[in-house]
Amino acid sequence: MNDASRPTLRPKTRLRYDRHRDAFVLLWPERGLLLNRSAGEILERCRGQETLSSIVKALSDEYPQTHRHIIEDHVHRLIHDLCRRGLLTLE
Amino acid sequence: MRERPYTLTAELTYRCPLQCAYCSNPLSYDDRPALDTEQWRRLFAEAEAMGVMQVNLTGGEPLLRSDLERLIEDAHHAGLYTNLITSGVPLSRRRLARCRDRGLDAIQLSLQSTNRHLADDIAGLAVHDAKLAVARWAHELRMPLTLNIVLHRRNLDEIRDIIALAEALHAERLELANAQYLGWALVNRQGLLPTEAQLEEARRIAQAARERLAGRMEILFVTPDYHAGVPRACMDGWGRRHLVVSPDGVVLPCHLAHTLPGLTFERAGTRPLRDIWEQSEGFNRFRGEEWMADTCRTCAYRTVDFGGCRCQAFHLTGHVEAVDPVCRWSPDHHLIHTARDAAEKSSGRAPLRKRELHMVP
Repeated sequence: MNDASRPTLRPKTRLRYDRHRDAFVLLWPERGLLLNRSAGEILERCRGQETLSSIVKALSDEYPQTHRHIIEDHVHRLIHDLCRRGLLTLE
Repeated sequence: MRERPYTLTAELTYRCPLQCAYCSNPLSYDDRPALDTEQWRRLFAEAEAMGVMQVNLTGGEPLLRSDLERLIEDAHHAGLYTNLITSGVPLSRRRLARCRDRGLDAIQLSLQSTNRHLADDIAGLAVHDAKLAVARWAHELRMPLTLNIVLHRRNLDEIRDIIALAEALHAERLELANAQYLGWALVNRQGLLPTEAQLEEARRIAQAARERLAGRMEILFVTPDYHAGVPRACMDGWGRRHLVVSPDGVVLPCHLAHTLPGLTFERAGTRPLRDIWEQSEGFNRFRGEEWMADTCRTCAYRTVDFGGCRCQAFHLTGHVEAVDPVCRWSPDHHLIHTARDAAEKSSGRAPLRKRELHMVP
Protein backbone atom coordinates (compact mmCIF):
# COMPACT_ATOMS: atom_id res chain seq x y z
CA MET A 1 0.00 0.00 0.00
CA ASN A 2 1.45 3.38 -0.99
CA ASP A 3 0.09 6.88 -1.56
CA ALA A 4 -0.37 6.30 -5.29
CA SER A 5 -2.43 3.08 -4.85
CA ARG A 6 -6.01 3.28 -6.02
CA PRO A 7 -8.26 1.30 -3.66
CA THR A 8 -11.06 -0.33 -5.62
CA LEU A 9 -14.06 -2.24 -4.31
CA ARG A 10 -14.17 -5.76 -5.75
CA PRO A 11 -16.83 -6.47 -8.40
CA LYS A 12 -18.76 -8.81 -6.07
CA THR A 13 -19.45 -5.94 -3.66
CA ARG A 14 -22.14 -3.32 -3.78
CA LEU A 15 -22.14 -0.22 -1.63
CA ARG A 16 -25.61 1.08 -0.94
CA TYR A 17 -27.49 3.34 1.41
CA ASP A 18 -29.82 1.72 3.96
CA ARG A 19 -32.61 4.20 4.60
CA HIS A 20 -33.88 2.15 7.55
CA ARG A 21 -30.60 2.57 9.44
CA ASP A 22 -29.51 5.86 7.84
CA ALA A 23 -26.15 4.29 7.03
CA PHE A 24 -24.18 2.75 4.20
CA VAL A 25 -23.91 -1.02 3.89
CA LEU A 26 -21.43 -3.03 1.89
CA LEU A 27 -23.04 -6.11 0.37
CA TRP A 28 -21.50 -9.23 -1.14
CA PRO A 29 -22.98 -12.70 -1.64
CA GLU A 30 -24.98 -13.69 1.44
CA ARG A 31 -23.08 -11.17 3.56
CA GLY A 32 -23.26 -7.54 4.52
CA LEU A 33 -21.36 -5.02 6.59
CA LEU A 34 -23.10 -2.10 8.24
CA LEU A 35 -20.73 0.84 7.93
CA ASN A 36 -20.30 3.76 10.28
CA ARG A 37 -20.35 7.18 8.72
CA SER A 38 -16.63 7.58 8.17
CA ALA A 39 -16.21 4.08 6.70
CA GLY A 40 -19.08 4.82 4.31
CA GLU A 41 -17.46 8.08 3.24
CA ILE A 42 -14.12 6.38 2.64
CA LEU A 43 -15.60 3.52 0.62
CA GLU A 44 -17.60 5.89 -1.57
CA ARG A 45 -14.20 7.06 -2.79
CA CYS A 46 -12.86 3.55 -3.43
CA ARG A 47 -14.03 3.27 -7.04
CA GLY A 48 -10.59 3.03 -8.63
CA GLN A 49 -10.46 6.73 -9.57
CA GLU A 50 -8.87 8.25 -6.49
CA THR A 51 -5.48 7.47 -4.98
CA LEU A 52 -4.94 6.80 -1.31
CA SER A 53 -3.39 10.23 -0.80
CA SER A 54 -6.20 12.03 -2.62
CA ILE A 55 -8.77 10.22 -0.44
CA VAL A 56 -6.97 11.34 2.73
CA LYS A 57 -6.69 14.89 1.39
CA ALA A 58 -10.37 15.07 0.46
CA LEU A 59 -11.44 13.87 3.92
CA SER A 60 -8.98 16.23 5.66
CA ASP A 61 -10.45 19.13 3.69
CA GLU A 62 -13.93 18.05 4.69
CA TYR A 63 -13.07 17.62 8.38
CA PRO A 64 -10.49 20.36 9.08
CA GLN A 65 -10.88 20.02 12.85
CA THR A 66 -9.66 16.38 12.75
CA HIS A 67 -5.92 15.87 12.68
CA ARG A 68 -4.72 14.63 9.29
CA HIS A 69 -2.74 11.72 10.72
CA ILE A 70 -5.85 10.43 12.51
CA ILE A 71 -7.76 10.41 9.23
CA GLU A 72 -4.81 8.82 7.48
CA ASP A 73 -4.57 6.10 10.11
CA HIS A 74 -8.30 5.41 9.87
CA VAL A 75 -8.25 5.17 6.07
CA HIS A 76 -5.21 2.88 6.05
CA ARG A 77 -6.64 0.53 8.63
CA LEU A 78 -10.01 0.22 6.92
CA ILE A 79 -8.42 -0.42 3.54
CA HIS A 80 -5.99 -2.95 4.95
CA ASP A 81 -8.81 -4.80 6.71
CA LEU A 82 -11.08 -4.91 3.65
CA CYS A 83 -8.21 -6.01 1.36
CA ARG A 84 -7.54 -8.89 3.72
CA ARG A 85 -11.20 -9.83 3.56
CA GLY A 86 -11.14 -9.82 -0.22
CA LEU A 87 -13.57 -6.91 -0.54
CA LEU A 88 -11.11 -4.35 -1.87
CA THR A 89 -8.04 -4.37 -4.12
CA LEU A 90 -5.27 -1.85 -4.63
CA GLU A 91 -4.82 -1.01 -8.29
CA MET B 1 -41.30 -3.53 13.74
CA ARG B 2 -39.69 -6.06 16.11
CA GLU B 3 -37.14 -7.53 13.70
CA ARG B 4 -36.30 -6.71 10.16
CA PRO B 5 -35.52 -9.20 7.40
CA TYR B 6 -32.28 -8.67 5.46
CA THR B 7 -32.43 -11.58 3.04
CA LEU B 8 -35.14 -13.01 0.85
CA THR B 9 -34.68 -16.53 -0.43
CA ALA B 10 -36.90 -16.90 -3.47
CA GLU B 11 -37.46 -20.56 -4.28
CA LEU B 12 -38.56 -20.12 -7.88
CA THR B 13 -39.40 -23.79 -8.49
CA TYR B 14 -38.87 -27.18 -6.85
CA ARG B 15 -38.14 -28.73 -10.24
CA CYS B 16 -34.52 -29.71 -10.89
CA PRO B 17 -32.80 -31.91 -13.47
CA LEU B 18 -30.45 -33.23 -10.76
CA GLN B 19 -31.28 -35.86 -8.15
CA CYS B 20 -28.72 -35.21 -5.40
CA ALA B 21 -29.19 -37.56 -2.48
CA TYR B 22 -28.68 -34.68 0.01
CA CYS B 23 -31.11 -32.23 -1.58
CA SER B 24 -32.48 -29.89 1.08
CA ASN B 25 -35.85 -29.45 -0.59
CA PRO B 26 -38.79 -31.09 1.20
CA LEU B 27 -39.57 -34.73 0.43
CA SER B 28 -43.06 -33.84 -0.80
CA TYR B 29 -45.30 -30.82 -1.16
CA ASP B 30 -48.76 -29.75 -2.19
CA ASP B 31 -49.38 -29.53 -5.89
CA ARG B 32 -50.22 -25.83 -6.13
CA PRO B 33 -49.45 -23.41 -8.93
CA ALA B 34 -46.12 -21.59 -8.82
CA LEU B 35 -46.02 -17.81 -8.40
CA ASP B 36 -45.93 -16.01 -11.72
CA THR B 37 -43.58 -13.24 -12.83
CA GLU B 38 -45.81 -10.43 -11.66
CA GLN B 39 -46.32 -11.99 -8.21
CA TRP B 40 -42.56 -12.30 -7.72
CA ARG B 41 -42.03 -8.73 -8.91
CA ARG B 42 -44.44 -7.42 -6.28
CA LEU B 43 -42.78 -9.57 -3.63
CA PHE B 44 -39.32 -8.16 -4.43
CA ALA B 45 -40.61 -4.60 -4.10
CA GLU B 46 -42.46 -5.35 -0.85
CA ALA B 47 -39.43 -7.10 0.63
CA GLU B 48 -37.15 -4.19 -0.24
CA ALA B 49 -39.54 -1.74 1.36
CA MET B 50 -39.29 -3.75 4.61
CA GLY B 51 -35.48 -3.55 4.61
CA VAL B 52 -34.45 -6.65 2.68
CA MET B 53 -31.10 -6.03 0.95
CA GLN B 54 -30.35 -9.31 -0.78
CA VAL B 55 -32.29 -11.86 -2.75
CA ASN B 56 -31.13 -15.40 -3.39
CA LEU B 57 -32.82 -16.76 -6.49
CA THR B 58 -32.86 -20.49 -5.93
CA GLY B 59 -35.00 -23.60 -6.16
CA GLY B 60 -34.92 -26.44 -7.20
CA GLU B 61 -33.22 -25.14 -10.28
CA PRO B 62 -34.07 -21.50 -11.07
CA LEU B 63 -32.78 -21.83 -14.65
CA LEU B 64 -35.84 -23.95 -15.42
CA ARG B 65 -37.96 -20.79 -15.27
CA SER B 66 -38.19 -19.21 -18.67
CA ASP B 67 -38.82 -15.82 -17.02
CA LEU B 68 -35.59 -15.92 -14.96
CA GLU B 69 -33.98 -12.98 -16.79
CA ARG B 70 -37.10 -10.93 -16.20
CA LEU B 71 -37.07 -11.85 -12.49
CA ILE B 72 -33.42 -10.83 -12.21
CA GLU B 73 -34.26 -7.51 -13.81
CA ASP B 74 -37.19 -6.99 -11.42
CA ALA B 75 -35.10 -7.85 -8.34
CA HIS B 76 -32.32 -5.54 -9.51
CA HIS B 77 -34.72 -2.69 -10.17
CA ALA B 78 -36.22 -3.18 -6.72
CA GLY B 79 -32.70 -2.39 -5.39
CA LEU B 80 -31.79 -5.87 -4.17
CA TYR B 81 -28.36 -7.47 -4.34
CA THR B 82 -29.21 -10.36 -6.65
CA ASN B 83 -27.53 -13.73 -6.28
CA LEU B 84 -28.35 -16.71 -8.50
CA ILE B 85 -27.96 -20.06 -6.76
CA THR B 86 -27.82 -22.71 -9.43
CA SER B 87 -26.59 -26.10 -10.56
CA GLY B 88 -25.63 -24.44 -13.85
CA VAL B 89 -27.84 -26.82 -15.82
CA PRO B 90 -29.29 -26.13 -18.33
CA LEU B 91 -27.45 -22.94 -19.28
CA SER B 92 -25.81 -21.39 -22.34
CA ARG B 93 -23.10 -18.72 -22.35
CA ARG B 94 -25.51 -16.34 -24.05
CA ARG B 95 -28.16 -16.77 -21.37
CA LEU B 96 -25.59 -16.26 -18.61
CA ALA B 97 -24.50 -13.02 -20.29
CA ARG B 98 -28.13 -11.94 -20.49
CA CYS B 99 -28.53 -12.59 -16.74
CA ARG B 100 -25.50 -10.39 -16.10
CA ASP B 101 -26.81 -7.64 -18.35
CA ARG B 102 -30.17 -7.66 -16.56
CA GLY B 103 -28.42 -6.88 -13.26
CA LEU B 104 -27.30 -10.16 -11.71
CA ASP B 105 -24.69 -9.32 -9.04
CA ALA B 106 -23.26 -12.79 -8.39
CA ILE B 107 -23.65 -16.45 -9.25
CA GLN B 108 -23.28 -19.43 -6.94
CA LEU B 109 -22.62 -22.67 -8.76
CA SER B 110 -22.86 -26.11 -7.17
CA LEU B 111 -20.34 -28.85 -7.81
CA GLN B 112 -20.70 -32.40 -6.54
CA SER B 113 -17.10 -33.62 -6.65
CA THR B 114 -13.81 -32.97 -8.46
CA ASN B 115 -14.05 -36.47 -9.85
CA ARG B 116 -16.29 -36.52 -12.92
CA HIS B 117 -17.47 -40.05 -12.34
CA LEU B 118 -18.44 -39.45 -8.70
CA ALA B 119 -19.89 -36.01 -9.49
CA ASP B 120 -22.19 -37.39 -12.17
CA ASP B 121 -23.12 -40.32 -9.94
CA ILE B 122 -24.16 -37.97 -7.10
CA ALA B 123 -26.07 -35.66 -9.46
CA GLY B 124 -27.75 -38.60 -11.17
CA LEU B 125 -26.93 -37.02 -14.53
CA ALA B 126 -23.77 -36.40 -16.58
CA VAL B 127 -23.47 -32.68 -15.84
CA HIS B 128 -19.98 -32.21 -14.38
CA ASP B 129 -18.38 -30.96 -17.61
CA ALA B 130 -21.29 -28.62 -18.26
CA LYS B 131 -20.82 -27.12 -14.79
CA LEU B 132 -17.11 -26.53 -15.37
CA ALA B 133 -18.01 -24.73 -18.58
CA VAL B 134 -20.40 -22.45 -16.66
CA ALA B 135 -17.63 -21.59 -14.18
CA ARG B 136 -15.31 -20.65 -17.07
CA TRP B 137 -17.99 -18.51 -18.73
CA ALA B 138 -18.59 -16.69 -15.44
CA HIS B 139 -14.90 -15.77 -15.34
CA GLU B 140 -14.85 -14.71 -19.00
CA LEU B 141 -17.95 -12.58 -18.42
CA ARG B 142 -16.36 -11.09 -15.28
CA MET B 143 -19.15 -12.32 -13.04
CA PRO B 144 -18.33 -12.91 -9.36
CA LEU B 145 -18.41 -16.68 -8.81
CA THR B 146 -19.05 -18.65 -5.65
CA LEU B 147 -18.52 -22.40 -5.82
CA ASN B 148 -20.58 -24.46 -3.41
CA ILE B 149 -19.87 -28.06 -2.71
CA VAL B 150 -21.90 -30.12 -0.28
CA LEU B 151 -19.47 -32.28 1.67
CA HIS B 152 -20.15 -35.78 2.94
CA ARG B 153 -18.58 -39.18 3.43
CA ARG B 154 -17.84 -39.75 -0.24
CA ASN B 155 -16.18 -36.47 -1.21
CA LEU B 156 -14.75 -35.06 2.02
CA ASP B 157 -11.34 -36.58 1.31
CA GLU B 158 -11.11 -34.53 -1.91
CA ILE B 159 -10.84 -31.26 -0.08
CA ARG B 160 -7.37 -30.34 -1.41
CA ASP B 161 -8.51 -31.00 -4.99
CA ILE B 162 -11.68 -29.00 -4.41
CA ILE B 163 -9.71 -25.97 -3.24
CA ALA B 164 -7.28 -26.31 -6.16
CA LEU B 165 -10.18 -26.52 -8.61
CA ALA B 166 -11.81 -23.42 -7.10
CA GLU B 167 -8.52 -21.54 -7.54
CA ALA B 168 -8.15 -22.72 -11.13
CA LEU B 169 -11.71 -21.60 -11.88
CA HIS B 170 -11.04 -18.15 -10.33
CA ALA B 171 -13.82 -18.49 -7.77
CA GLU B 172 -14.13 -15.49 -5.46
CA ARG B 173 -15.76 -17.60 -2.78
CA LEU B 174 -15.76 -21.26 -1.92
CA GLU B 175 -18.45 -22.68 0.32
CA LEU B 176 -17.41 -26.00 1.78
CA ALA B 177 -20.83 -26.87 3.10
CA ASN B 178 -21.04 -30.05 5.08
CA ALA B 179 -24.42 -31.65 4.55
CA GLN B 180 -27.03 -30.79 7.14
CA TYR B 181 -29.15 -33.83 7.86
CA LEU B 182 -32.62 -32.69 6.90
CA GLY B 183 -34.73 -33.40 3.82
CA TRP B 184 -33.14 -35.99 1.54
CA ALA B 185 -29.87 -35.90 3.48
CA LEU B 186 -31.71 -37.31 6.52
CA VAL B 187 -33.13 -40.12 4.37
CA ASN B 188 -29.56 -40.88 3.25
CA ARG B 189 -27.76 -40.09 6.49
CA GLN B 190 -26.19 -43.51 6.82
CA GLY B 191 -24.41 -43.19 3.50
CA LEU B 192 -23.49 -39.51 3.88
CA LEU B 193 -22.40 -38.89 7.48
CA PRO B 194 -18.58 -38.58 7.59
CA THR B 195 -16.19 -39.93 10.18
CA GLU B 196 -14.66 -37.66 12.80
CA ALA B 197 -11.18 -38.20 11.31
CA GLN B 198 -12.35 -37.18 7.82
CA LEU B 199 -13.90 -34.04 9.17
CA GLU B 200 -10.92 -33.04 11.30
CA GLU B 201 -8.52 -33.42 8.38
CA ALA B 202 -10.80 -31.45 6.06
CA ARG B 203 -11.19 -28.66 8.61
CA ARG B 204 -7.41 -28.42 9.02
CA ILE B 205 -6.81 -28.22 5.26
CA ALA B 206 -9.58 -25.65 4.80
CA GLN B 207 -8.16 -23.49 7.60
CA ALA B 208 -4.66 -23.53 6.08
CA ALA B 209 -6.07 -22.65 2.66
CA ARG B 210 -8.13 -19.81 4.14
CA GLU B 211 -4.95 -18.22 5.50
CA ARG B 212 -2.97 -18.82 2.32
CA LEU B 213 -5.70 -17.36 0.10
CA ALA B 214 -6.80 -14.49 2.36
CA GLY B 215 -7.76 -11.50 0.23
CA ARG B 216 -8.05 -13.60 -2.93
CA MET B 217 -10.63 -16.26 -2.20
CA GLU B 218 -13.05 -16.36 0.70
CA ILE B 219 -13.34 -19.90 2.07
CA LEU B 220 -16.26 -20.90 4.26
CA PHE B 221 -16.20 -24.22 6.05
CA VAL B 222 -19.56 -25.08 7.53
CA THR B 223 -19.19 -27.62 10.33
CA PRO B 224 -21.99 -30.18 10.35
CA ASP B 225 -24.29 -29.88 13.35
CA TYR B 226 -23.74 -33.50 14.25
CA HIS B 227 -20.09 -32.87 15.08
CA ALA B 228 -20.37 -29.39 16.59
CA GLY B 229 -21.78 -30.30 20.02
CA VAL B 230 -23.80 -27.10 20.03
CA PRO B 231 -26.67 -26.11 17.77
CA ARG B 232 -26.15 -23.63 15.00
CA ALA B 233 -28.13 -20.41 14.98
CA CYS B 234 -30.40 -21.77 12.30
CA MET B 235 -31.41 -18.93 9.91
CA ASP B 236 -29.84 -16.52 12.48
CA GLY B 237 -32.89 -17.28 14.60
CA TRP B 238 -36.50 -17.95 13.68
CA GLY B 239 -38.11 -14.93 12.02
CA ARG B 240 -35.20 -12.60 12.80
CA ARG B 241 -33.28 -11.99 9.54
CA HIS B 242 -34.57 -14.26 6.78
CA LEU B 243 -37.64 -14.57 4.64
CA VAL B 244 -38.12 -17.62 2.46
CA VAL B 245 -40.85 -17.87 -0.14
CA SER B 246 -41.63 -21.33 -1.52
CA PRO B 247 -42.43 -21.85 -5.22
CA ASP B 248 -46.17 -21.73 -4.52
CA GLY B 249 -45.85 -18.51 -2.53
CA VAL B 250 -45.86 -19.62 1.11
CA VAL B 251 -43.92 -17.12 3.22
CA LEU B 252 -41.64 -18.98 5.64
CA PRO B 253 -38.92 -18.33 8.24
CA CYS B 254 -36.88 -21.23 6.77
CA HIS B 255 -37.16 -23.41 3.71
CA LEU B 256 -38.43 -26.45 5.64
CA ALA B 257 -40.68 -24.67 8.17
CA HIS B 258 -43.80 -25.94 6.39
CA THR B 259 -42.74 -29.52 7.18
CA LEU B 260 -43.45 -28.82 10.88
CA PRO B 261 -46.91 -29.92 12.04
CA GLY B 262 -49.36 -27.55 13.69
CA LEU B 263 -47.91 -24.32 12.30
CA THR B 264 -49.83 -21.99 10.03
CA PHE B 265 -48.08 -20.08 7.27
CA GLU B 266 -49.60 -17.62 4.86
CA ARG B 267 -49.33 -17.13 1.13
CA ALA B 268 -47.79 -14.04 -0.41
CA GLY B 269 -50.35 -11.69 -1.90
CA THR B 270 -53.12 -12.52 0.58
CA ARG B 271 -52.09 -9.56 2.74
CA PRO B 272 -49.08 -7.24 2.91
CA LEU B 273 -45.74 -9.05 3.33
CA ARG B 274 -44.93 -6.85 6.32
CA ASP B 275 -48.09 -8.05 8.10
CA ILE B 276 -47.24 -11.68 7.38
CA TRP B 277 -43.72 -11.15 8.75
CA GLU B 278 -44.93 -9.35 11.87
CA GLN B 279 -48.21 -11.04 12.67
CA SER B 280 -48.52 -14.50 11.17
CA GLU B 281 -48.88 -17.33 13.65
CA GLY B 282 -46.09 -19.36 12.02
CA PHE B 283 -43.51 -16.54 12.21
CA ASN B 284 -44.30 -15.78 15.85
CA ARG B 285 -44.34 -19.41 16.95
CA PHE B 286 -40.61 -19.60 17.79
CA ARG B 287 -39.67 -15.96 18.22
CA GLY B 288 -38.38 -14.95 21.64
CA GLU B 289 -37.80 -17.45 24.43
CA GLU B 290 -41.20 -18.37 25.82
CA TRP B 291 -41.60 -21.45 23.66
CA MET B 292 -38.25 -22.90 24.75
CA ALA B 293 -37.77 -25.97 26.91
CA ASP B 294 -36.23 -25.18 30.33
CA THR B 295 -32.88 -26.52 29.13
CA CYS B 296 -32.74 -23.70 26.58
CA ARG B 297 -34.56 -20.97 28.48
CA THR B 298 -32.03 -21.15 31.32
CA CYS B 299 -29.00 -21.57 29.04
CA ALA B 300 -26.48 -18.78 28.49
CA TYR B 301 -26.24 -19.71 24.79
CA ARG B 302 -29.91 -19.05 24.05
CA THR B 303 -29.03 -15.62 22.68
CA VAL B 304 -26.33 -17.19 20.48
CA ASP B 305 -28.14 -20.16 18.94
CA PHE B 306 -31.76 -19.00 19.49
CA GLY B 307 -32.71 -22.55 20.43
CA GLY B 308 -31.15 -24.24 17.36
CA CYS B 309 -33.00 -25.76 14.44
CA ARG B 310 -36.73 -26.48 14.88
CA CYS B 311 -36.85 -28.71 11.83
CA GLN B 312 -33.99 -30.83 13.15
CA ALA B 313 -35.65 -31.07 16.56
CA PHE B 314 -38.92 -32.22 15.02
CA HIS B 315 -37.53 -34.58 12.41
CA LEU B 316 -35.35 -36.37 14.99
CA THR B 317 -37.62 -36.39 18.06
CA GLY B 318 -41.15 -35.88 16.72
CA HIS B 319 -41.61 -32.77 18.88
CA VAL B 320 -41.37 -29.25 17.47
CA GLU B 321 -40.42 -27.71 20.82
CA ALA B 322 -37.75 -30.25 21.78
CA VAL B 323 -34.19 -29.14 22.46
CA ASP B 324 -32.23 -29.48 19.22
CA PRO B 325 -30.69 -32.97 19.66
CA VAL B 326 -27.30 -31.85 18.35
CA CYS B 327 -26.90 -29.91 21.61
CA ARG B 328 -24.83 -31.83 24.15
CA TRP B 329 -27.37 -30.85 26.84
CA SER B 330 -30.34 -32.24 24.92
CA PRO B 331 -32.01 -35.28 26.53
CA ASP B 332 -32.09 -36.74 22.99
CA HIS B 333 -28.39 -36.19 22.27
CA HIS B 334 -27.84 -39.98 22.21
CA LEU B 335 -29.58 -39.96 18.80
CA ILE B 336 -26.62 -38.02 17.42
CA HIS B 337 -24.06 -40.27 19.09
CA THR B 338 -25.76 -43.36 17.71
CA ALA B 339 -25.65 -41.91 14.17
CA ARG B 340 -22.00 -40.87 14.56
CA ASP B 341 -21.00 -44.26 15.97
CA ALA B 342 -22.70 -45.96 13.03
CA ALA B 343 -20.73 -43.72 10.65
CA GLU B 344 -17.44 -44.63 12.36
CA LYS B 345 -18.19 -48.35 11.93
CA SER B 346 -19.63 -48.15 8.43
CA SER B 347 -17.72 -48.91 5.24
CA GLY B 348 -19.07 -45.68 3.73
CA ARG B 349 -20.64 -47.63 0.90
CA ALA B 350 -24.27 -47.58 2.05
CA PRO B 351 -26.48 -47.08 -1.02
CA LEU B 352 -27.91 -43.60 -1.56
CA ARG B 353 -31.51 -43.03 -2.52
CA LYS B 354 -31.69 -40.36 -5.18
CA ARG B 355 -34.05 -37.43 -4.86
CA GLU B 356 -37.38 -38.09 -6.54
CA LEU B 357 -39.85 -35.44 -7.52
CA HIS B 358 -43.47 -35.86 -6.51
CA MET B 359 -46.24 -33.37 -7.12
CA VAL B 360 -44.08 -30.55 -8.27
CA PRO B 361 -45.47 -27.06 -8.48
